[in-house]
Amino acid sequence: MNDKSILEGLFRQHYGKMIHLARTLLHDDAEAQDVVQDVFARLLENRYQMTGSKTEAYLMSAVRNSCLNYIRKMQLRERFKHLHPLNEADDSRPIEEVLTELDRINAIVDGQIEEPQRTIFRLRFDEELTFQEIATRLDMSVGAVYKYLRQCINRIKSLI
Amino acid sequence: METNNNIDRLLAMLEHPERYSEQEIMDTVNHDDETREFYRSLTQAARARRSQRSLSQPVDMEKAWEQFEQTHLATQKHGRLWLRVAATVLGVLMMSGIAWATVYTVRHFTATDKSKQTTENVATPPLTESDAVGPRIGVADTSATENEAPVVFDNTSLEQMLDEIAAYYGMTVEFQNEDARNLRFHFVWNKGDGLEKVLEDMSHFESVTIEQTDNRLIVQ
Repeated sequence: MNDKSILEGLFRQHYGKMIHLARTLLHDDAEAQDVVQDVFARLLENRYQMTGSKTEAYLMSAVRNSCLNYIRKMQLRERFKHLHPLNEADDSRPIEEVLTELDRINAIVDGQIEEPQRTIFRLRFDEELTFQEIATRLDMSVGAVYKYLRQCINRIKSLI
Repeated sequence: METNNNIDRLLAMLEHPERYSEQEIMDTVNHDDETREFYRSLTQAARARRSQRSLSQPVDMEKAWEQFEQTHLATQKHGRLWLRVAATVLGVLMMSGIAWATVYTVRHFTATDKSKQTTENVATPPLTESDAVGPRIGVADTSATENEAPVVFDNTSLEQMLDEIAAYYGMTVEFQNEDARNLRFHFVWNKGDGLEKVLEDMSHFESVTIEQTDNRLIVQ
């Protein structure tokens, strides 16, 4: 096996999970791709300190750190608009644990949330409609949309 | 009731962030614990749905690799680079538990391969002559001048490392995570780098987070 194939092997083995994490943490797919490419570029330049026995854990941490750094550098209004964390220290749990919790949230939304809360959640987070657009589509007031979304989020929180 | 009103205000702000000052946004999010917690849940919800979308989206591995090759490999001189990657990978395979980076190994290649250095320096971080001969182990030289060689902390405890670095930038260190004091890492510190850059590099350490607040470095 030559040297190039070693890097290519790493890339092919881990790219899928890495791009998934980056797409989950960032709102912009192009940016997510850049982050993952950059992790491998740094590996190539040896600017990362390899600090453990597990390559995958290392690569995933590198992706998460790069994503969080990217978010930190965004304008506050942009961060808020895309619902990124605003208070710094809220992301220190293991990556697997975070991703498992996200799966759990999706299962709750799809299985345990009633109407119209669920539709409102989906229109907001899947179709990314504004609250005004949701209100118009469902023929209710914006205040009612807020109320249902509040209920929905609180219910998810209580079920996690 | 007041909290609900505040959360509704937060939702209204999401619709038009540009109409509010940064201070207003932060004040609303941090108005009370419940709102802060609610915002955190919104963050999780947004991530959860992005995660779901991502899974349903195909990953074009060929294109990604092609792009990587073109951007990062096309103009490089291959031999040495591949050697470095091989060394890195070998290092990962051999490592167990204790943090131990491969820079040392790679630099040994550099030292023994000195004759080729002039032509193959393309992607190498700035190394000085003394550095190439052999890394200094352990404690930083305090009589340092601005443009001197990078300080190489070789299998050095985080406590010792941070004490040196913090002192240089006029910061104090606080360990919230006591166990982290004795974690050992390999780290190359360029004194010419700003503190932010140094912390960014250190953020790649596994199992510790170092936060900067005012003039303190907090290890979590």
